[in-house]
Amino acid sequence: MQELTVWNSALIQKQAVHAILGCNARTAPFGLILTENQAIALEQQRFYALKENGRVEFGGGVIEKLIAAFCDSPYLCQDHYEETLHELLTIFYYYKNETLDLLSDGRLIAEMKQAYNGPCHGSLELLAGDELERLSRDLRSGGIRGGFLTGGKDYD
Amino acid sequence: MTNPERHCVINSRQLSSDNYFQSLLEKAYAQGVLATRALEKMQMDCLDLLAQHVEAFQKGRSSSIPVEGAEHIMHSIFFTLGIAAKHYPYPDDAVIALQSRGVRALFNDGLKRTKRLVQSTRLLHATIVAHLIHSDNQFYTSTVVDGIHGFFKLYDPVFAAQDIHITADYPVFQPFEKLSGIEFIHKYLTCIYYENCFCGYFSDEAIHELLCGYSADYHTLLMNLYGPVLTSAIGCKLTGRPPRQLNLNADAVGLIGKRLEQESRTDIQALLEATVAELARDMRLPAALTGYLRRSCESLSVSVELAVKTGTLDHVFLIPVHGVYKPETQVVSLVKMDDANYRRVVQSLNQSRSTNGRIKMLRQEIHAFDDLVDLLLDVEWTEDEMLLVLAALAPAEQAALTRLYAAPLSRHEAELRSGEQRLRRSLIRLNKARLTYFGSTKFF
Repeated sequence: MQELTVWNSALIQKQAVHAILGCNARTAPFGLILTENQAIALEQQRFYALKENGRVEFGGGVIEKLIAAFCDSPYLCQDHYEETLHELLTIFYYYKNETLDLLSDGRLIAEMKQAYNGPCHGSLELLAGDELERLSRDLRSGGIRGGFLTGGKDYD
Repeated sequence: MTNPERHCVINSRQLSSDNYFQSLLEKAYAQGVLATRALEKMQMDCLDLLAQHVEAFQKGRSSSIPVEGAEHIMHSIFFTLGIAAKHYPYPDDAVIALQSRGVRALFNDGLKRTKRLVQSTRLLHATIVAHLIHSDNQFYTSTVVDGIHGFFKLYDPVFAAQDIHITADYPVFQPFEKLSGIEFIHKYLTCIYYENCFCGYFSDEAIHELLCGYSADYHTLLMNLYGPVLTSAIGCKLTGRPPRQLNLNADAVGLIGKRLEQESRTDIQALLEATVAELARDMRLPAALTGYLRRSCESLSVSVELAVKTGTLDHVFLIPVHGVYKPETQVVSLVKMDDANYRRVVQSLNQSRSTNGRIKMLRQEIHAFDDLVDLLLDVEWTEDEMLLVLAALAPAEQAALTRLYAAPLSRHEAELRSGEQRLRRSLIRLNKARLTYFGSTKFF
């Protein structure tokens, strides 16, 4: 008997890679471009990050939102663009769980960007281990840490 | 009614009542009714449905969801599809419909049926509550009234149709197949309906004294009330006693024991069924209720046979304890009026200058005890007016108000709101007037 719950499929992946490559037009002015292989690797990373964090996703779109949010960051350059996106993706799904899904995708990305460009000065270690950890702790304990949720743009 | 001549590839008895849709697909695939390709298409259609549901569930806030959340929604979809598939008289027909009409069409069918089932179950619940027997057993009322009410508050037929939410502590007499969601509640309430209906043929006193024969603390025990009543009624009929009195004694139980000591389980069941038929004729029970009673005989015959063998028949055919019944009045409030309506009534009562007019308006507008209490506290009554209002109430309402506000309080009187203090003073005045009038008679 085949498993009824098939969460991933080649067709869905193909569509997602196409959507990621579509972001190049937007990021090119910042000198950031992804090749097809990099887009495939990114999509695979999304799959692994989802699996690792016990989540499923329909329709995707988070990679595009991350690219759109971070492409104008002063700390991002072509040399570590792909690597940073991999890290951001992992951090994103990890903190979706840690914040108990209380923040929408766009809100969480906005908070990530604010911290990355601000107090973390482009450090992914500080972002994951310090700022977002504090945010999720505050959210879980029922409050919002003053001054962190900035009311900036949502990337929904 | 199913056609016995029709040959079906899928045996409906092998399908799970709880996970009907999954077991239907499994059997259909295993028996070759469903090809691999068709199964894959159904899986993809189910995933499409899931994606659409997850999006609606997340309200566009998040594109991902924890696996447990997605699985929960998927089970809800399967449950709804199962409701639609169960509607077909043969499982083969359901599989054909799945292929010809598609998963989505069947899901929409199932959702409509689920929502209709919720409505009919609500009506069934309202009927039960309106005719609920009065029992001291705390689990009976708390489950049948409050528990089920809680279920309807929480039940979500779209995203969590398989959830039961409540523990349904009170056990029904007849075990039934494993079910989920509204199907379980409907079946559970159907059993409760028949059991409560049958118990309604007997006085509260007779039932209370009978159950005290089981345990003086039966009100705190998680036990079925209908079983002992049915058993005792059958016992009375077998020994030529009036069944409605549920009044067996040791001699009668001994007689039953002698009559059954040589009988097999099948014979005992046949005897119980024949006695139930006589009982139904004498008591003029409706056919559906008689059917439920007859079906109960199977489980009953098991415990009767065991009791005969172990010489413990008096634990099955209970001997009542007389003189322990203390009747008490319960006031159950109906549903409160909505806030806007309540504000309108308060305003009208405050504006009215005639005391008689105010009392008349109160009687016309108020249908729930809780609303009455709120209005007595919120409207600006003088103490004399309040006394007249209270005097115009039914004795049960006066007693309930006295219990709430005039009985010794757990908090200091100074902590009461001014409206509560006024109501308390008026109730005490009313009760003093009563005591003076009736001389030494004490009411509370």
